[in-house]
Amino acid sequence: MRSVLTGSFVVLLIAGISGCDDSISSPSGGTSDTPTQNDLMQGQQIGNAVSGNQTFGNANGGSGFGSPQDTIQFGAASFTADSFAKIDTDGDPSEQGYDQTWNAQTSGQIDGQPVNSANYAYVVMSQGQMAASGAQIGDWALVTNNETGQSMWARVEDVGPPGGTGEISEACATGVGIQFQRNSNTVGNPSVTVQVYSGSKSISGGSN
Amino acid sequence: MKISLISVMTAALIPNFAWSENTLEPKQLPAPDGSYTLDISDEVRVVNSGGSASLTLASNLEGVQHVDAKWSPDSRRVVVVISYTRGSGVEAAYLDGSGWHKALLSDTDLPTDELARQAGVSGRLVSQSCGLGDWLDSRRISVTGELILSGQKKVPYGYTLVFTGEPGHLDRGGFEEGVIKGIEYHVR
Repeated sequence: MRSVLTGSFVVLLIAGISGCDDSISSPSGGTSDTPTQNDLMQGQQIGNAVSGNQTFGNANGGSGFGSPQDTIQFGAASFTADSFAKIDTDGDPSEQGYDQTWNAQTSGQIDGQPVNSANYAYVVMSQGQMAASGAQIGDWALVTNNETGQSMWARVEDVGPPGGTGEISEACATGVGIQFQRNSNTVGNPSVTVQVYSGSKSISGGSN
Repeated sequence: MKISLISVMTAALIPNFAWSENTLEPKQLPAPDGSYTLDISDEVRVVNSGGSASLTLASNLEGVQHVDAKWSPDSRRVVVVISYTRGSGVEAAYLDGSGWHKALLSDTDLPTDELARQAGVSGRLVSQSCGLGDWLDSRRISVTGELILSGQKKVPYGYTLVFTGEPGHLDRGGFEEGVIKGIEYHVR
């Protein structure tokens, strides 16, 4: 499937380039890899949050994934970790060169693209944690700032090294009131509790 | 001129998009005696000679970059390393009188801090990878790996993965933990 999409995309690009002739045409968009207007709007919401103009209440969404529409099916968390917060900037192209731990890719993808840490609230799990808890990429997680009690919903979208806990995206950190520097170091030593709900990935998200 | 430009741009674009290709190639690894096969496709499964699944080790390989697997010489165990961009995990399947079981190497097994200390480096663990070496016998296989700490500080390490023969505890994912264990961790 991915091969077909990639192949199609390349064909479309070639066709687009061929059709340019000597002029430069405007991209028409509409491919599966193009961010939707909704994504851009949600990204802007996070931009507002980063600027400090927006506050989040308990268990808010507010990032690209929003909040799960039905948490009744969740049951007890299948994985819980309480640890110092670490910021994962992966998937955020603006962090290249600033964060020594930066990666262009995330294990999860949205429309064939890495999940942008600045736009989407996500958490990182290890392969062992996922296997042991039955969690998968895309499952919902509740992240709580242990100092302030602020919490927000996120999804599991990246896989990190064994034993890693408390690693969250920029959008998630902002959403729970954790400040960080451009190099991804947190301000102070904030701690978070991450609760992951296995089998929840199919539950869609929406605004509060 | 125009055609040349298109050719050059196309040639440049295709490799750039290659990263989005899922590099995971479906493959089948038969046990030495041929009685079972490890099937790696959308899932990782042990299938019998009739093609029926006897055990599913991993049911979702989204984001997985590479799967490394080796059967034991006696065909009763298979060890699988599932690798993502920044981390990998070790799982195993083994056959006993009651059938196939799946086991997981616990995250707590890897002595990250001790290995970093031995290597004389410190920092935040950014990524980890590992691969399978040779079977020492039908219960022990060598594993090599690498830790990368912040600042691109690398710690190559190795250990021996052992099937302990001890009963493990079942986790929520259906894996037995404690059945496989790493010993003799060292910096390479």
